[in-house]
Amino acid sequence: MAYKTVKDNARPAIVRMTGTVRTQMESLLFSRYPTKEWATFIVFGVHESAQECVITIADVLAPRPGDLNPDIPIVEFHEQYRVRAAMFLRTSDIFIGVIHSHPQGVPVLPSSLDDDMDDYYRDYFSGFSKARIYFSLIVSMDRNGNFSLSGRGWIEGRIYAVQELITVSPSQIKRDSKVPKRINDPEYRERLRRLYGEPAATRLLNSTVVIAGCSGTGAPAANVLARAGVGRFILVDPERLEKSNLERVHGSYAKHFVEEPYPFKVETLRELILRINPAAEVIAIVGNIVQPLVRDHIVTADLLLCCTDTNYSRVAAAELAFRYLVPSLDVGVLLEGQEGAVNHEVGQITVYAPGLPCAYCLDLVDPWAAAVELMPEEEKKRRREEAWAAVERGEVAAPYWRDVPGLPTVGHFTSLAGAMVASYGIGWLTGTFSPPRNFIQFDILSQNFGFVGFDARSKPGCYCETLIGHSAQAAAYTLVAAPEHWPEPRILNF
Amino acid sequence: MVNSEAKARILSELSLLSWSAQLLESPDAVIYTGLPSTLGLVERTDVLVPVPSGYPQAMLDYAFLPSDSPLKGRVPGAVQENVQFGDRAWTRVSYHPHNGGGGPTWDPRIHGFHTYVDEVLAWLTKQ
Repeated sequence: MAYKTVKDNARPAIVRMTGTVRTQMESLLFSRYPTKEWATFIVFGVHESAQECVITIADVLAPRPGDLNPDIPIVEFHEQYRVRAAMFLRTSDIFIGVIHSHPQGVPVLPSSLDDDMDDYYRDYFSGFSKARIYFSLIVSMDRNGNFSLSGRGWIEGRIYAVQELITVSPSQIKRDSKVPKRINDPEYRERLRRLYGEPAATRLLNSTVVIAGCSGTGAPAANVLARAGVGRFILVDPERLEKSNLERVHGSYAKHFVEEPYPFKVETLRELILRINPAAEVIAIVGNIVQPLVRDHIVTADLLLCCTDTNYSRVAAAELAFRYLVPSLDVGVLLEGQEGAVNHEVGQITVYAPGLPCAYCLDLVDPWAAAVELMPEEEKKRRREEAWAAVERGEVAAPYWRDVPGLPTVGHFTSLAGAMVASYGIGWLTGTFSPPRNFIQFDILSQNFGFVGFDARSKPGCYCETLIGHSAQAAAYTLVAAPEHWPEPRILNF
Repeated sequence: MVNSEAKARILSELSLLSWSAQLLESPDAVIYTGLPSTLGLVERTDVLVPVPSGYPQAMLDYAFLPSDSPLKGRVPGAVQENVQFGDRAWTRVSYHPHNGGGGPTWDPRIHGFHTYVDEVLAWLTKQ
């Protein structure tokens, strides 16, 4: 049988899936191994940017008895299975594709029979779908258990070749890649290699981590991750440094405040990362995680560290986890005290991942505070004036305006919380350790550190349960969108 | 102009309405047309609700009546300034169902323009 490479003019595609889907898929596809193929339809969402696309496998439409021909070694789909998939498409916003195995030892490249199958299904499913979108993936496993995947896809007239597979499990974020691995391991990581092992150290080199919020907690998190050898960073923050940041933002120095305008936070953090590891790749974006251009980059990453400590970004981080299968760790801090005495220094870390509850299910969102975070300055001013007028009329001011107290934070504690969230990121990326619970809160000034931790479930019917992997096709259910008064994000060139 | 995802969401919400409504853009607002009122003077009225910055995370708040509406002063809430949306002048009225005004706490998983219409209908029948 003749095998062909995927076309050279194809754009790159990344496939994301959960560990649960991958386990289910592998047990199906390798059920007739090592000599016979098997297949299943997959249900997937798509996010397409100008450079690439990311497909998120939401589920497998597993074959039932009689759906595939069991009497031949290759895959033959029966009519009943095709019709079932087509009926699913008719009532869905997401898409159907095919994944099938090649026998052990056979390359994961499409054969002429695969070409025929893909031509057929590309055309067939387009008759039932809202868009001409189809992907076909091929997998195999060698004798040593090494997994291989190839894939190609069509979005309207555009052709894509699958380059990478990111699998998100509770215990590990795995990346299988056709892109050559970074192997230039800096000497200074010798202790890390000894502790976690060579595969973990290589995994960090080949990880992409988004740091959203490059200030009190984000900067120390990046500092720790750069020293651990994370190879690629996407830094996101809309702000420039302020003088008060010197107290807590790693990478900021007196030299940054000599001349105005002061640098963007992403600039100084990039500088810090490259001073530690000149081989690291850093994309610095002046923007915000809810902006579409920023999301184009986030969906290609292994992990998001949400270090902004805002209500809306917490919602956004959770939404990226369930819709786009981008796992995240959200960190926040709170210091309480009066008249010079500090009583509480509280840190909070939340894991957001597909299948876990969102910020709403965890009751972590203050709707008024979120509205204020997203409000233009002129509206804040108008509402304050209306509140004063209401008081003068003898009415309650609260519906017009309530101050949202700013959270005072100091460097010693933000550094601790940032380092902690980075450490859990290292554990998750490498599969070596996990946080004790998916939600943890601690107070370093309380007995036993005031530890509170629990693993909650999604509330039944919540989007975080029903829209897993629905990607851009769940736009009509978006929970947070960028306000129009924010400046367009921009990627800094150096 | 409203973000494309927010627009997709608003259009989806409007498709769920049994009342007539339209999305205006720049400035962004939804106009519910011909809503019934039991407060007298008019049987029906149009009501405009602005799309807040950052919707749907930011809650829906306020309601606007046509600037020549006789319902101004009859519906609950202080009458604020006039604002031009498209080719019509509207008057802002202080109505805050999700912000301490008696409605449920805002939750974008549940609430939207498709549910705000119920708050507005209740408002148009309250003395």
